Amino acid sequence: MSTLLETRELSLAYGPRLVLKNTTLALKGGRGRIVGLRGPNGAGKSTFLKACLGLHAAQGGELALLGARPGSPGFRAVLADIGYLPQARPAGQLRMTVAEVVELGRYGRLRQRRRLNKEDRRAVDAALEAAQVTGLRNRAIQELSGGQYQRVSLARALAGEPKLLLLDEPSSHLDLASRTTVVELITSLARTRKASMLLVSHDEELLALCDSFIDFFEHRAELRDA
Amino acid sequence: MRELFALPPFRRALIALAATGVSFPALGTYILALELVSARFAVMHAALLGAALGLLAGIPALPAAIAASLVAGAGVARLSEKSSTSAGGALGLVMTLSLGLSFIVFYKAEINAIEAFDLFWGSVLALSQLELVLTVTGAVTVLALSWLFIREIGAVLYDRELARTFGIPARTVYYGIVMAVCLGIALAMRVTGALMVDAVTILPALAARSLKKGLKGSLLWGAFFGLAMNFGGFTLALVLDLPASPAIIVLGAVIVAAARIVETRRSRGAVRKEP
Repeated sequence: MSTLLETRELSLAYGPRLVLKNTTLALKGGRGRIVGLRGPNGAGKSTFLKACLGLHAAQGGELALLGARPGSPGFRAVLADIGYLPQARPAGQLRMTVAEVVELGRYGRLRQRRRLNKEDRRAVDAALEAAQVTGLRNRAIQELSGGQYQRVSLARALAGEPKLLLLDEPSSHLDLASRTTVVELITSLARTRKASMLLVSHDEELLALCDSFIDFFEHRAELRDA
Repeated sequence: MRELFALPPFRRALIALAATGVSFPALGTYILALELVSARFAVMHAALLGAALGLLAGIPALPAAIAASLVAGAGVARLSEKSSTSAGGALGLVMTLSLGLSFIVFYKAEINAIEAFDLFWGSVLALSQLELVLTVTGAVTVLALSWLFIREIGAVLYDRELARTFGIPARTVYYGIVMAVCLGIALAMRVTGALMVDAVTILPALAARSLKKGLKGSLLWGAFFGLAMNFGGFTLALVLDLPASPAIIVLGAVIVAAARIVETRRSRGAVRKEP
């Protein structure tokens, strides 16, 4: 069985503030494993996800995602297999359309090509449909509600046909109707078992989908079965 | 009219208006997306320092000003890296530091400040052959890079952090965008004059943003509006005997206002159609 995630003596910090100290984890899994990242606010769950993507440098120790260390020469190829849904909505002022944003998720699959081909367009259409946002494809991203934006972000993460989805609080800060739609969407994705997931959430309904958990507490992280 | 085309300054003006009209609205789109509106002040003052140093070294003011603008651009990008969108604080620092250093150079090297300030009073009809070559080269470079790297640029303008998760070298792309903006502003200063740099950058981008969603649409419509504003304003200047840059900027403002009215009407119509 391949290794999804491996850390050895990993330490993470924000300046002088320690987030995680000497954490060793090994997460095996083929396609379709759903792992919940639980813990109180500020325990380091989002920082851990960012470290997995190479967005946050480790203070010490080692980390490998899908067999490659973030920042290593081989990690760019690994990024093509990952879909990431961050917690915060970008504050940029660029008026991109929903279709343009979802197409960005296909970037890792383009390799030397500069344009989307037929297969890329099919994947983008499929992602828009899976996230139920096909009707929004020509809308500007700034015009979307919180729930619509979150579904578009999911479509963007799915457009690259990822082996692993990293979802950071996908149902937070949404109104009830939007939350329900997003939870239903992630539930149906989880049921297909096409991609593994690392899921940061406080949402009981989403956490119920998980096979195992990484619990974050007191600068430590421990792996537990559901 | 035919006699006008025979005049080299007139021909140089037309070429510069075409080049900047097509290319520089892309920079306006980047300026608006990255909230670099105050960049022009920082870059202008860095360019002034470059011109002062150029005069001190005995080299033409514009190439020296461009070099200083690019260095300033790298500085701005470096200082603003940690903030996710705005580089306002970094720009303020570059602006005041450049101005301070310029006046130290003027004083210590006994340079005539008016010669350096000449850089600010650009006019499309006063472009030298060297300035035209630099302007066209800069415009073609901006256009080519924007076209080649449209996906990378779009991703970085959308969200720098997210762009890194696609495998895009977001830092390099961000530096490239900021430096292209600085290059464009330094060149546009000679075409329109420092206080009217917006005429060829931000105004066409604003008009395009009102009418078109999406990066590609904004770039294409920006180029269309850039050409319309440049040639429309220049024609008005000739017909009504006005200075060229103010005529371009006034026409640009009218076009932006008209585009806003169209945008408002469209969105009201869309709201009415929604069940």
